[in-house]
Amino acid sequence: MKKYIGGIGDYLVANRSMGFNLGLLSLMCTEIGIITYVYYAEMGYKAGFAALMVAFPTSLAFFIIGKTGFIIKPLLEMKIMTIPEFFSIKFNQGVRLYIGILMAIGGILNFGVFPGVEAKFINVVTGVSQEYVLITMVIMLTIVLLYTLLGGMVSVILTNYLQYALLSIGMIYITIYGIIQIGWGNIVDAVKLNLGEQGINPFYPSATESEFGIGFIVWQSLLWISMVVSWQAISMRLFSSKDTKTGQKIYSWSGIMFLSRAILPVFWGIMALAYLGSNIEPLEALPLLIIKLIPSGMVGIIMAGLMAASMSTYSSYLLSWSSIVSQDLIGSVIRMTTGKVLSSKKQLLVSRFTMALVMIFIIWWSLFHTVEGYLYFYLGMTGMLFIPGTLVCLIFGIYWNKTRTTGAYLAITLGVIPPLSYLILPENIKTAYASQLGWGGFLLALIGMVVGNFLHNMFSTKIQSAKK
Amino acid sequence: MSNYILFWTIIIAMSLISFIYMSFRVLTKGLPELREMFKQLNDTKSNHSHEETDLKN
Repeated sequence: MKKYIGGIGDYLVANRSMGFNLGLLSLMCTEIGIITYVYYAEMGYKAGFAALMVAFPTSLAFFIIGKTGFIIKPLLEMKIMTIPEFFSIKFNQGVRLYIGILMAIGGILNFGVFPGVEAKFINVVTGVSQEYVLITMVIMLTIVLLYTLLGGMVSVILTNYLQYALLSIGMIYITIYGIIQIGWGNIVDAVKLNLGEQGINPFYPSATESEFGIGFIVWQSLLWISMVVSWQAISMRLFSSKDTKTGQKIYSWSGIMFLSRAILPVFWGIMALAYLGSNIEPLEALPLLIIKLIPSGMVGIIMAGLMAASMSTYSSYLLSWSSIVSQDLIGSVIRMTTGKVLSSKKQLLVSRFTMALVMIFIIWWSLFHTVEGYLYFYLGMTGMLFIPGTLVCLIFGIYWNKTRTTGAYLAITLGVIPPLSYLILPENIKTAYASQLGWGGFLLALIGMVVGNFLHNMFSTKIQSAKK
Repeated sequence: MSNYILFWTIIIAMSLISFIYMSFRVLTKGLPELREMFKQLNDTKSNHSHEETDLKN
């Protein structure tokens, strides 16, 4: 695989040679892992059919952005490899470094809980003690690290193809077999009995008060519009596509694929409620459903599919977050201090080295960190550390010529406050105010951008007048 | 409540059907694209090698 990698462009974006179908399956593989199934099934188990609402903002965000080319078209035409690169083009190297730091922290904290949650899942399904499962996870991560380290995006796309074949079989089998065995009527009755109207009507008791109501939809729509354009693992697929048209097409069709990505696992959680009752730990709903429902001969195949899904996510996330550290942190510091740009081969070496460091960190983090509240919300909020500021800066930076650096700094800084509060606050408060803290991040980032631009323009006008 | 149940039934059924169709489609059509990607990477690599040899000469 290493023979196909001549420079940093081949390594990070496969020399922009990825076609439409390959892009679609690779994007799905990246964003589907055991952890995806676990958090969606948790939502289905706790909230019933109402939790299916979570699928729509994602799907619509991909479809609309893909169809219109909003933000992504100009980014594709810039031929960049990471989102922070845009910040050095539009603003300056300092803003790139600042957003790069937040992206690295948010992305790695997000990624850091994957091995722990997945080890618990495998522990429940296989019965092997968690200690040995973690060792297995480390071995699996090392294998992923080796092939990603050598072949970068080329390895990721190749392995994604094989992994997608396995994961799709697993997903289809669990859904169809579950419906046949449990029965549709029993599933609906279980939701009615355990959750009542709230489990079926997402707007109960009212659209503004419900957990999956208007506030949730607004937050999730903003989150996914930003994720689609600024989540490095997703945007790297965009930058790897062979041309702008292919990139946009991948996004529009991902709208359909991402609907299934959420609907099917949420539905597995609902099936778990019907099949296992309401007295189990929600995060264990899916693994318990698999071992109790699926025939033992098939569990091995299903597990192979699930592990394949995880490996594909690990490889993509390792490549994505290490590219931020190497290109936007180390690269920016070198550029700011020496004024020089590293050669492509040196960038490649730095990328490989940081990838190994990122892997060591996430293993350490997964051993010591426990998640409070909804796992889905934790993952969303760690991403939110950089997402509101990035979205606002991208929109203003691309579509408004008068956007200034002060506005960018202030938007990024204010956007961090609500998600950071979520990560610090006690569990009962954070769960009650998750949606408000979610959309609040975007609102503050917007205010930061407007106020920052106003201050910048006001002071620069005064300085110019004083000079005259 | 029954309207919502009907709505969720349709959504789940559509998601399952579209996932089966799309998975089949991307896997069958993705294979030739994979070959094409490697061919393109190989060509770029040989062009780079030729350029480097020319520069050395």
